[in-house]
Amino acid sequence: MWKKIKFYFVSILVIGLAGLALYYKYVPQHAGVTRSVDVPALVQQIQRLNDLVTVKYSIQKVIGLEEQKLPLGTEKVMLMVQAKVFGGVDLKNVTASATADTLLIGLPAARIFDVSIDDKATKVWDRSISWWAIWASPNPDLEQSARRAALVDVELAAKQMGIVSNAQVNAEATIREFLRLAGHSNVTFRVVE
Amino acid sequence: MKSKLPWLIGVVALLVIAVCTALLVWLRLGDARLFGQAYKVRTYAGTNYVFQFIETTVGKVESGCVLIVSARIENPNPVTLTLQRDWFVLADHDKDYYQPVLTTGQTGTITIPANGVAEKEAFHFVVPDDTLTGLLALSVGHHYFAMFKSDKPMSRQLTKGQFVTVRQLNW
Repeated sequence: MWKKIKFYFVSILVIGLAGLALYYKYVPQHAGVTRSVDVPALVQQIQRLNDLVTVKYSIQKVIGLEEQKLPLGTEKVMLMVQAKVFGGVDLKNVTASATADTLLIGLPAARIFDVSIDDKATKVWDRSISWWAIWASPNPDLEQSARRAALVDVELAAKQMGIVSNAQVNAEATIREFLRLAGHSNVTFRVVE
Repeated sequence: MKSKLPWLIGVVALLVIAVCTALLVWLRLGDARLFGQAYKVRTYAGTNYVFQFIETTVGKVESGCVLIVSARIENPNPVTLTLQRDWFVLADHDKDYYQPVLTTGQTGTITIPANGVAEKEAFHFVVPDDTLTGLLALSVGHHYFAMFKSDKPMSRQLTKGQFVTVRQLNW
């Protein structure tokens, strides 16, 4: 009698444990669990990542600007420019929406935020005016014009080096990692205008 | 007579040099006057304004050439004038058209207060090298193109990072 009871008890225990093991193996853990996402709070938290998604490029350029004087003569300036270019995604305009198992993040297109010249590292190498052009007075704005030209050159160089795509990839990776740590592993990005 | 001949040749040579220099100066000043003339134009909506080229800066960069066209824009109207930067399209001799590149610090619109002046508004263009081999013009108003480079090919070759500023049509 006791043997029979023991046998049934052990059998039920083994079947129960096997059933439990199969349940945990084949049934998804979150099945049946309703997870509510507080989208506005999530957007606010993403917006706080602003500094993390910014990409900075340091670019050095040598710019020579020659101004043709009227009626004759030239004035030249040569600058060694050290500039910083900041690119990123404006997270103020980030949007988010949630479906049952996916978070859809709308990211604005990456762009260049700022191009600035590092005045300490920027040097005037040469400045000259045609010696025979006695009527030509030096242009006080020539260096400023050279700096403006340098800014355009630096910005184009940064674009060519891929700062915009780099900033977009960086922003997506940072936000994806942040959301993964917050428990959202299934995230889809789309670029919004 | 013999001793006076070298003097005479010298005087004539100096005279020829002076006349040639004066002619060159006159031509270049005339060229600059043509470049800096004021264009009275209209927007697509019919608002009048005055456009005047100040200078053109051309430079060589990795991706081609950069053109920085600086202009003075005057608003003679008693109301604020708003111009879209995209309206100022660059056209070359091959009838290729280039939109201005919006750089950092620039906005898509140029706003000039009533009876005000934008003293130096810059339009940036990135163009291929062959664009500079002929005429260049800027769309400054409703179906109105203002020329800022003559049809002569650019007289000098630029190296990367080299920029030249001119205030005339021939360069």
